[in-house]
Amino acid sequence: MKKILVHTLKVSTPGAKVQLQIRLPRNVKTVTAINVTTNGFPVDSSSKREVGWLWLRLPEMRDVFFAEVLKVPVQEHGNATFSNIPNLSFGAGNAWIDGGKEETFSVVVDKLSTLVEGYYTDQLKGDFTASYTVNIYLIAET
Amino acid sequence: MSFKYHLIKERFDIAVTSANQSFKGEFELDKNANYLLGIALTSDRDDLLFYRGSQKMLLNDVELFPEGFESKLLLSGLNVAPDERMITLGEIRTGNGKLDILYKDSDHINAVFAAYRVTIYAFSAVDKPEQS
Repeated sequence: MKKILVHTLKVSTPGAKVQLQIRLPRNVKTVTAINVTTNGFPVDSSSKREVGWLWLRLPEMRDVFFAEVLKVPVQEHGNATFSNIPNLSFGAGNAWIDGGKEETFSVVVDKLSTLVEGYYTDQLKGDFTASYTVNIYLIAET
Repeated sequence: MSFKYHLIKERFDIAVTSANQSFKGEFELDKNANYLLGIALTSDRDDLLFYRGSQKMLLNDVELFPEGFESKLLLSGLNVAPDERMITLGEIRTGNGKLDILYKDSDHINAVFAAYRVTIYAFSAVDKPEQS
């Protein structure tokens, strides 16, 4: 059976370097997918500024199995425009009109312990917002 | 998946009337529904649901989505084909299914609160869908 785990990280210190641990339930066998979202930014359609860097690793192996550069969400879901080509979307890039289904990053991480370690580095350094959250979703098979 | 006329489609509403609060909904699935195949989430204010919403969802006390699971991950835009908007859950046996939803509204810089409605659609089957 599929189980979803959510780990929320609140970042309020500019340039913060955070070590995190996600405890897996004992009945989890494999982590099959990962999704990471950020929340708390004003819509910014022009910037693709980096928010932070995230690594996840297994403590037993000290092996990084997931690394991602998180960026400020850009509100142009499937609505990219090109010169001389008419825009075929319904809307103006709003997620609830032009957004697709969220996709997860597939991995196969067999559980060696009940812990996943992580390391997060803030790259915004106080721009845009005073604090924001990073949500890490682990989809696991039990 | 079986044909659409074999699916039981149900709609459940939660009214979100105040900011930064949690709202609980307890819904009973159709007595003839034996397998929950998927769900979809919509709202009369999609922007508020997208930016402000998160929910915990349980079927017969079995967790489908944990607390803090953002609503935006369950939304699909109009650009997604109608036939593909449902979030599939596998084929979960429902019995006399009870769907518990704890919806949480949280402040967001892009969406100022106004009362809104969260609508959950549940798609169930009477018989186990044939594997194609």
